[in-house]
Amino acid sequence: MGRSSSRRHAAGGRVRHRDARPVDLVLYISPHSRYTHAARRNCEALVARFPPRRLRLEICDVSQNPERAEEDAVYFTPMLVKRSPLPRTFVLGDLSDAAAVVELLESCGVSPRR
Amino acid sequence: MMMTNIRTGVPGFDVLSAGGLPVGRSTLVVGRSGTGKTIFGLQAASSMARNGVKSIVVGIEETADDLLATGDALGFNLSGLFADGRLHVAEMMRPLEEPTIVSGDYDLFGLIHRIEHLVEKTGAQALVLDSATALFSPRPPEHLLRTHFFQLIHCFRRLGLTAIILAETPADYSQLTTLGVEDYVCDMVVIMRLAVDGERRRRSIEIYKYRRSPHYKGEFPCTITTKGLAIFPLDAPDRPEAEHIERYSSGVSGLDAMTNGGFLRNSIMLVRGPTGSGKTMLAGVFARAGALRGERVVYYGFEEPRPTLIRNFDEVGLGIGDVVRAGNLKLVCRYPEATSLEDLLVDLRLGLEEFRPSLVVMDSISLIEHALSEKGFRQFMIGVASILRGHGRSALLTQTVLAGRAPDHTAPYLSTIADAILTLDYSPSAYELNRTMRVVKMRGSAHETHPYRLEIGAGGLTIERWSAEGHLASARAESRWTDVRS
Repeated sequence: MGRSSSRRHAAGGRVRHRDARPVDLVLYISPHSRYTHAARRNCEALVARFPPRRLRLEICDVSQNPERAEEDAVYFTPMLVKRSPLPRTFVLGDLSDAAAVVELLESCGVSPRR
Repeated sequence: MMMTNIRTGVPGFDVLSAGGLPVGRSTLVVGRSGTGKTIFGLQAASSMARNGVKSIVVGIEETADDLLATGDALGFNLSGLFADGRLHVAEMMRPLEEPTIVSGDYDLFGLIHRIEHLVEKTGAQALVLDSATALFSPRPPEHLLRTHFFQLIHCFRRLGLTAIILAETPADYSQLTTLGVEDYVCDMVVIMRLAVDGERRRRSIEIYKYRRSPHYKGEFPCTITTKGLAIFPLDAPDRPEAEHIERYSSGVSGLDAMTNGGFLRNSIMLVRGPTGSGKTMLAGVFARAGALRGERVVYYGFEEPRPTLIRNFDEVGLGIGDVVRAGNLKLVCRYPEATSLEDLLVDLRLGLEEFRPSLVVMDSISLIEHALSEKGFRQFMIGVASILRGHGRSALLTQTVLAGRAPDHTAPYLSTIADAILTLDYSPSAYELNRTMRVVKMRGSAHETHPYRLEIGAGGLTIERWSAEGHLASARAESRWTDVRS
């Protein structure tokens, strides 16, 4: 789905091909962490500010899926990982500093909806 | 009874800690970079794994391959244990080349869940974390750091792990760790040091804290050899053969008489005297007599090169070259300035294990004393005594002191290390050199208290009781001689 829509954008010439691929995000959380709730809420609010097709968010509970957490060398929770586009970037914390995350996403070529 | 300690297999450490690490608790090992923390961790993990305690090494700073290679190079056989499933090496490095942004507060549950998973998967009972310092990078704010570390220790405790946590310290004698929080929550804290001592480096290890357990306090010398870390504690377990008294000849009949029938086995003799009082000669006679009896003897000569030493003994008719060639006497001549303290200790220990001598001679320990700081020398002597006692060997050590001066001001602990002390001296007579000898102390034996006369001549030494008459006669001769002169 995502792939075909990006092709359409590219064909329309309005968006460059590179930008058309969604930004891949994974939020690692733990049920034991006192910051989990805030991180989820902040993350979802943040993602809602962007066009839905441009961001892909996955939430991973490290206690349920520790092997998945290995791929991103997770120590700290909550941690948001921007897996693509490269470079992979780690955002530690409950995302209460939204500006830093918005800036990171903007650097990937996505802008908040007006 | 519940087992409370687990042996690390690091030579000397289990003596210092009165049995090893606390089972199911966390031990913090701190030290600057290069002090041997990783080696300690790998050595303990491999030893525990060999003894049936499944262990995990969590590498935060180094790759699993690097850790395995380090352990294999030191003969810990990490790869073998890894292949057998007795030891697991988990690589948990953070990709530091990729950017990290901080947005709000966080904790350590990510790592905790991964460790829980690993422990569940492997059935591990012990864990080495190398290192906490690398783990907390970027360093969280102070109030979080303590919480994070506590969470980690709590997790290890909950999993019943005997944990070794390595952490970096900014300097040898400073705040305990770079992070400054780890020691509060650990049951045991070990400090490893590589201090600059004059122009050399001196390794030491200290058990700074061991909750609810007796242990030896203070710094003990240690070294890193091709076989890993080795510590030299003062106290070695008592050897059963030390219980009954066995005497052997000192090589000089007069000296045997002075000591009520000879030296005692498993004891350390300290021979003190000024330059020229006959210490080296006595050491040579002692070594040669032992070798001729069929004992194996190692002679460490620190004062002169080997050919000079052999020639000097030959000069007085003490043919030592033949004894050396026959193989029972090993002469090791080294300049203490050119070797490190640790090397000497290792040499001594390997020498004891390989050559298996029953007698050890060191002539003289003063040369080492001058090459080291006071603290370094103390550690060295403690190390020497520990090795000798651990192997149940007898030794004769010589020490140079100033004529007519009480020797104890330099190193008072030497009197404690030595089981027997002999002093040599000479009276600065204008007529002749009167060499005298006394037994100052002899643990577990009666001994003469009056001085004996010592003469160096053909065939070595003669030691005779210096009677009051003899003393008076020589005093009269003295006065006659001075009368004639004046």
